[in-house]
This record gives sequence, structure tokens and C-alpha cells, in this order.
Amino acid sequence: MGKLIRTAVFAALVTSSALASAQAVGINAAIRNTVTMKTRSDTAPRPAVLKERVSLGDQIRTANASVLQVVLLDRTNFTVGANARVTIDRFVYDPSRSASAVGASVARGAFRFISAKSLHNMPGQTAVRTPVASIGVRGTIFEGVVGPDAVRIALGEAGAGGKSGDNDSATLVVLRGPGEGVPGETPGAIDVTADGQTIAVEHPGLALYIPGPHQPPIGPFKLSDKGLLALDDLLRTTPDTKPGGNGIDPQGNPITDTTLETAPPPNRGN
Amino acid sequence: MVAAVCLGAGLAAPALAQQDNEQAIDALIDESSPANAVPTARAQTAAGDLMGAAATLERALLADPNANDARLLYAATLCRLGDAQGARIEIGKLNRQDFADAAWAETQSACGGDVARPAPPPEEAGSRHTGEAYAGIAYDSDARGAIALQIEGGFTPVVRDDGLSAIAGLRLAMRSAGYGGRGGLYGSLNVSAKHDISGPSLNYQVGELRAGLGRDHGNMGFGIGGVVRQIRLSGNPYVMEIGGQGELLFGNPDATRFRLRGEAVDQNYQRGYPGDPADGMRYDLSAAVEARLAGRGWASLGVGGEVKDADRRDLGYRGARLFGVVQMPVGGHGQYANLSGTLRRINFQDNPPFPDRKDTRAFARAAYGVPLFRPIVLEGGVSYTSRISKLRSTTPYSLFGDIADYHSVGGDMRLLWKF
Repeated sequence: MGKLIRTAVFAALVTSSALASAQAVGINAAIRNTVTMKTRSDTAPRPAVLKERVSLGDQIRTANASVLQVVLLDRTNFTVGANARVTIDRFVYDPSRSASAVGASVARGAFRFISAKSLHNMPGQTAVRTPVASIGVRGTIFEGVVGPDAVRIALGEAGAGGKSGDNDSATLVVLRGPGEGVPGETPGAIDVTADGQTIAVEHPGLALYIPGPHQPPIGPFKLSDKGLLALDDLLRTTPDTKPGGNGIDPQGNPITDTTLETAPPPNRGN
Repeated sequence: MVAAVCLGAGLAAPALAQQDNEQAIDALIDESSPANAVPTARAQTAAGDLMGAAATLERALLADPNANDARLLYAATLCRLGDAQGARIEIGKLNRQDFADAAWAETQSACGGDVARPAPPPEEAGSRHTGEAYAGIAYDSDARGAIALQIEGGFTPVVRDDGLSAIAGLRLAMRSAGYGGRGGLYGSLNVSAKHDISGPSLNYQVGELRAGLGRDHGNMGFGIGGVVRQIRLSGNPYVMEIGGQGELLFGNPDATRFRLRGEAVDQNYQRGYPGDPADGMRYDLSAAVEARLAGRGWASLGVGGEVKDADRRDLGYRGARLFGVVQMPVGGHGQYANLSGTLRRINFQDNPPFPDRKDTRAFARAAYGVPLFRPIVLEGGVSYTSRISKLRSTTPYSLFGDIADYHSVGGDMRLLWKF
């Protein structure tokens, strides 16, 4: 009987996109600097608000040095990094079975995905799409970046062959975990499909680069510390510099402000 | 494209379940505040939810990038998740930051030998060196007036030319191991240079070396030592200063501190003729209050007084000044805004028949720094420099006109390497 009801509701909601799009699928859990959202019904961008509900189809935009973390109802954490445009366009969650699936589109910018355990119970149904790739999630932590930042990072990676890319669509993806042997966690893995090829990434630290449309993935290759640091800058924060040194001195103009009390003759130095 | 469902929505009981779920996430967000994130993450870890713990700490660090104990636990969590590379990056961000020893012990235990302890903050360091080097370009709207004392109503008209210059500098400070404890050695080297690219000649190099003995421990500190300073102008030696200095420090270095500093130097001008009449002693005494501000900002505001004797009396002076600097972080990615300035009043000694001279000199600079890639920062600034001199003739037949006012608006762009 329960299964029948669930199936009926599922069918009803699938056919009702308006209702589905109004359904909250996540909550803004952390906001840094300038993040805007717009919905299908209200297309004017407005500032994102902490604890605001996120619905399907809401478009998220972040500015430079800005980050948003969304917690989906299944406890998947989706972090949208700097200079990004992201939409959550699919979400299925059955709490009674502890099963869920997520679909998100990243048109530009950096992102980090920490999957909920319930994704394991709907295998093969969770994916993050970029303009040139689909990243199938097998239950994992991974990060990516789309657009000019992907090109910039990839150019510094020997494993990416020093190849440039399309500033509108180039995609860099790196698996971050969990590693093998982590108690209570399934080893992370992603399946990246681009230009008809699917490549599995199954070891943390390995990355794939898709330079543009109709180009196969390059890799997997080990993302360097420099590359990871560049990605980190788009997704996380850094402590403010603590001042040190022998005192705090204002900067001055040594010519007119410190020692030169007697100006040289007018013709000197001219 | 859209095909999304929360199963059960539309029915009363499942709707309530969803509401409960949303409220549970709201509560989790509250528990992820920087103040609560560490115990929340520990509880998640204990429950076997390492990925949830990582997400909790990420939320806290987005809210407060300076939650250093949370960052250490985040690094430990990344290690537990098999991401030692990411953990090393987070630990690297804690160089010269405060954090609890217990937090570090947990991170070290989780990460094993993969990580090295970050460098301690300046106040706690033993032997250490810090500094910065920079290079860039600068624009001055009145480059000529910076080094030329021009006369209004003189034989030649006042000329004001703008100019573009290359700038570079190095600030290096060192302390021996005992300085932060029972006492030790300190030393610093400051070098700055400017060289014209276009416009009037505007070349100078300033070098300063300080060294001595001191101690900075707890709420008290002192230092006493020597100072040597040399300025070169337009490719030639201009003045050499040799003398001594001392300072006293009171107050909590992490809150508000008072600094009393004195300096006495013998000035030897090197302008090419013996017995330069400007030669003499210069004495300087200043007092400043320094404060750490919220969010790792800091500020200093002070007053100073100075006396200079010269072989020719009217080249000596007495002066007073106000000075200040404030720096505030902007955003959480290392950007900062800096505002600094000085205002000086100089009263030259009376020496008839030479005219009496009084100067008001001001300098202000506003700068904004953006990290390009660690540890390189791109800093842009705008500045204003002025010198307003008033001459009062002491004879009925003055041969002197007024010294032309000097006002220059500048801008500079520099790459900074902080270490």
C-alpha cells in the first residue's frame, strides 16, 4: 500500500513541473560575499539569504571571492564557488528508503560536491553536468571548475598537456575522497563522460580536463599542489594575515616626509 | 528537463516530515556557527559521519576564515577522509596564526607524518625573520616638485611636470631566539628606491639598517641599538645618518599596545662640499597606540616631536607630527585595505638675515591589496603629498620670493612578496 502511494505521488509530481519547481530541495547554509538567486517565477536576481529555501530551477550566481553552500534535503552538500552559475535541476529523495538522487548544472565557476549516503541507494542517478561533460557520482567528494578558471589551472598542469581550452566550457574535475579504507565511508569515485567517452576516476587527487566541446577528457592525472591551491582559492577562505614585525609604521614619502629637510638646489636632478 | 520530486510531498504526513527535515537542517546550520562547529563536527565524526563533519567545518570557515581551531579540525577531517593533499593546504594557511596546541595534536595524529606544524605567530616565535619585497610602477602628478625646491617670483618660472617611475623595496626584520623570552638580538633592513621612467628625473634610494638588543615578552618590551641610514639622490650620495635608538612597549600585543620610540642621529650631508651647513644632530621622539581590530585588522595612531641642529642655524628646526595607519581585511581571501598618513609641522630656526621658514608637510596613501597567488599580493594605491612653505623675511630687502607650494597626486601598482 505504501509503495502504491509513493508511486502515485511520484507520478503526480513528475507531471506537475510547476509544483515540483516550487518544492524546496535544499537550504542556503553558508553565504560569503555576493551571491544572488533567481527563480523561474521571479527572474530578477536578488541577494541570497541564509537559511533561505532553494527550489528546483533556482539559478545561483556568485561574484568574485564569493561562495554559497547549499545543504540539500538528503544532506548532500553542494558548494558553489567564485564566479559561478549553477542550477539544481533534479532532486529525488525517499527518506523511508534513505535513497536520493541529485542533478545539477554548472554553467561556469567552481563547485564542490559532498554526497549524502542516501545517494548510494539510487546508484547511477546522480550527476553534475557542465557544458561539455557529465560527472556521474558514485558517492563521493569531488570538486570542479568550468570556464576560464579551468583553462588557467589546466595550463599549469603537466598532466593536462599544457593544453588551452574554451573559456566558455572547459571543465576540470578532481576527485577529493574518501580514500580507500576510511571507516564507514565508501571509497569515492566519479565517472566523467565527454565527447562520447566515459572515464572513471577512482583515486583521490586525480583529475580530468575537458578542454572544450567535442573533445575527449584528458587524464586522469595527479593535480599538483599549485592547481589544487588555485581551486581552493575559488572555494574556500584563508585566514587574514596577522601583523608582525617591529612595530607598525605608516608608509611615508621619504623625499618630503622624513629625512630630506633641506631641499636640493632647484636645478638639481632636473 | 526538470524532473524533481521529494517523495511524499502533497500528502499531509510526508509534508510534515519534510518540514521536520528542513527544521533539522536549520538546526544543523545553527550548530555549524564558528562557535559551535568544532563540537558539532566532533559529534558527527564520532557518529561515523566524516563527510558531514567536513561540510560542517566548511560552513564555519566560510563564516569566519579566522576560526583557526576549526580549520585544524577540518585538516584532520580531510586526512581521515584520505585527502592529505587538501589537509596540507589548509595547514599551510595557518602559518603565523594562533591555534591551540591540542587542536594541532589532533591534526598531527590524524595526518601522521604527512604534515609539518605551521610557523608560530610573530609574538611567539623564537628566532625568526619576516619581511616583504615589492616592485612596481608609480605615477606622480608633480614629480619635479618632489625633489626641487622651486621659488615663486624667482628668476625661473615654477615648472610642474608629471612623471612615471619604477619603484622597488625590501623590508626585512629579524629576531634571535631569545628576543621573545629573556632577551636577544634584533635587526632590520629597509631599502626603497624610485627611478624615473618618463618625466623629470626622480631618482632616489633610501637604505636603513637597525640592530640592537631587546626583549618582547608578555605585556612589556624594550629595544636599544644603533641605526645607520643613507639616502642617495639623483645618483649621488645625499645624506648619511648614524646614531642610536631605543623603544619601550607596554600592553597586550594581541589587543592594545603603546610604543614609545626615540632616536638620535648625527647627520652628515654629502652634497659635494665640505662642512655642509646642514650637518648636525637630529633627535626624534614618538608615542603611538597600536590596536588589533576585529577581523584581524590593525591600526596605529601616534604623535611625534623632533629637533634638528645644523651648523647654519636656520637649517635646523623643531617639528611635530601626527601619524597613523589602519589596515582592514576585506572579504575572506586575503584582500585588504590600507590607509596611512602623516602630517608634519616644521619650524626652522630664526637666523637673520635669512628668512624664517615654516613648513607644513602631508602625506596620505590609500591602498588595496589582492592576493594573486600565495604569497604574492598585487597592491594598488593612490597617494597625496604636499609641502607648503611660508617664508617671512627678516630684512626690509628680501631677496627671496615664496617657496612654491608642492602638491602631488600619485598612484602606484606593485607586486608584494610577503614572507
